Amino acid sequence: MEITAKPTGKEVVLPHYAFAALSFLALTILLLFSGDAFVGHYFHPKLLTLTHLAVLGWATMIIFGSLYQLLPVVLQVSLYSDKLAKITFYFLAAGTLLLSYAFWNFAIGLPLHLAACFLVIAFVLFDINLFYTTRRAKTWTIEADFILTSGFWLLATGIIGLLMAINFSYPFLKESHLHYLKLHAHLGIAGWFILLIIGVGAKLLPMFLLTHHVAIKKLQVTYYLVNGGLLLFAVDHLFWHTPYQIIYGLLVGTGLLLFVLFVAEAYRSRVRREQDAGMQQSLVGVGLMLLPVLLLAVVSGQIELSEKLQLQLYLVYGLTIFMGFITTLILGQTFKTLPFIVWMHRYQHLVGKQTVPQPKDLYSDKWVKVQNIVYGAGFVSLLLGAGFASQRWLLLGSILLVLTALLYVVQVFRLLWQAIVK
Amino acid sequence: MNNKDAIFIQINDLLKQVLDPEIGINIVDLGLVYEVSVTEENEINVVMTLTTPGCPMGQSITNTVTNLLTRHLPGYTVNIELVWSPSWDAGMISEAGQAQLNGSDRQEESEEEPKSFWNRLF
Repeated sequence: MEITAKPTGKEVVLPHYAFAALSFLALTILLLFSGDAFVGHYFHPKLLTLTHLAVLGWATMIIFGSLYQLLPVVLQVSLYSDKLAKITFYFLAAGTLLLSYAFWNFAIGLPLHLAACFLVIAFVLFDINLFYTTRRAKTWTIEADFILTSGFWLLATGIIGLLMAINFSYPFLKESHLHYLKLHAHLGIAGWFILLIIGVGAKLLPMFLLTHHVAIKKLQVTYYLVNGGLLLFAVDHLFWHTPYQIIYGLLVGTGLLLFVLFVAEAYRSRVRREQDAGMQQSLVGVGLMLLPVLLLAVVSGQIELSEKLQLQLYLVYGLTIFMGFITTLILGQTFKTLPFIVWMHRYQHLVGKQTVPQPKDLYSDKWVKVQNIVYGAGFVSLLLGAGFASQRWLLLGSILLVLTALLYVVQVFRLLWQAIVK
Repeated sequence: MNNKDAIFIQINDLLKQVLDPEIGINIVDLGLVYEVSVTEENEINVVMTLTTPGCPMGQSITNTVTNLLTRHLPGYTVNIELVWSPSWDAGMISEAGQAQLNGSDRQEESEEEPKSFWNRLF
């Protein structure tokens, strides 16, 4: 008998979930006090704090943690190093906290430099672990391509961030910060988050839906469209400076559309007809990936708009990404992964010897549904608030998102507690 | 019914008690058990697969099979062979399994309208 991959230890995976849940709560609380920042330019200390807390403390943290658990499932090999994963966690956590402090107080000297260094170290260590884990894989899949490439883009994003942090104190970059911010943001969004979501989603979503074989042709085209679009965008942005950047955005957008069609095909041929709250939320998240693509024309400057409206729409664009599909997918996938991780560590060894609960019994699906509804209402309110520069809608959206985060934190920590107690 | 048939029925019933923790249906109806044989030397050989080779629940499922069969059939040695060919596909789920999966123990009810708003909508 041979089990091909050893699951990663709980002491590696679970701290990531805990840190991410607390970051999400902190993010929504800070959002509550940042309404004023949503009626101005996006290069604002509060917005920089919120964005980085969202992408690092919330999204990247939980992605690292769940990836350590999921890589053995996707690649059918054990994680290269649990120790390296733990060290990576400390660097990512310290870097995120320090960066949030630096941006909120606009302390652009040593705190910012140190934070950026910690984060780049975290990304290098993560990539080493990812690289050596994928190298062990006996069979190579398109999902592995997506995941490995996303690691490369994450490091590129971090390095640009580090250069920008240094440039604050010792200016050496040719163009303005906003110029590099655009590159930094889009490499992170499309290169890290989107590629990773597609890579993991392509494996997990059909698996959770219990789907018959789905052709991977669309995924292969998606891989080249997203990477090609991103690479052309980066080169153009740095060297060519043509007015055709919308084309690169459309390449990435077409890739996303193909992924959405892949998931739709998997959904149509599913055997499991009823979906739980986690899966419903995840599928909504996949659909929401198309929302920022629709706003691409605005952010790429193809449509003539007043400066004020354009800035508002920039904020809406950012929200559709960070608080939109990324948050939606995490909220949903947490309850498709964490209960099983907890169950494995708490009950696996007792199966067959005594009656044990099933993973779905470890949390309340009803409360996840409530959380999803509150989140949906909060997200829409926030979009309206940013779009119409309305403080009332922003406040309502922020309150609803704090409630969402509280519901999420309670459920996540209830699960984590079950994994800790003997 | 001879003794051998009775043993096979008992093994089948025991294997039907083993649930895949993620999917929530038993491994027989899920189509994970490919072959069961019992030798003259009182060895029970179970040839089975997992939903995916990297399945994190794999160890749990195979341990449960071993524990249950050993406990209920004490005179027998249990051997489990995990195979990946043919690879498991959702099409291998039996009709009874599909009925369990969709919240009904009776096959004819599996065609009923879904209950929740989401599942009615999509």
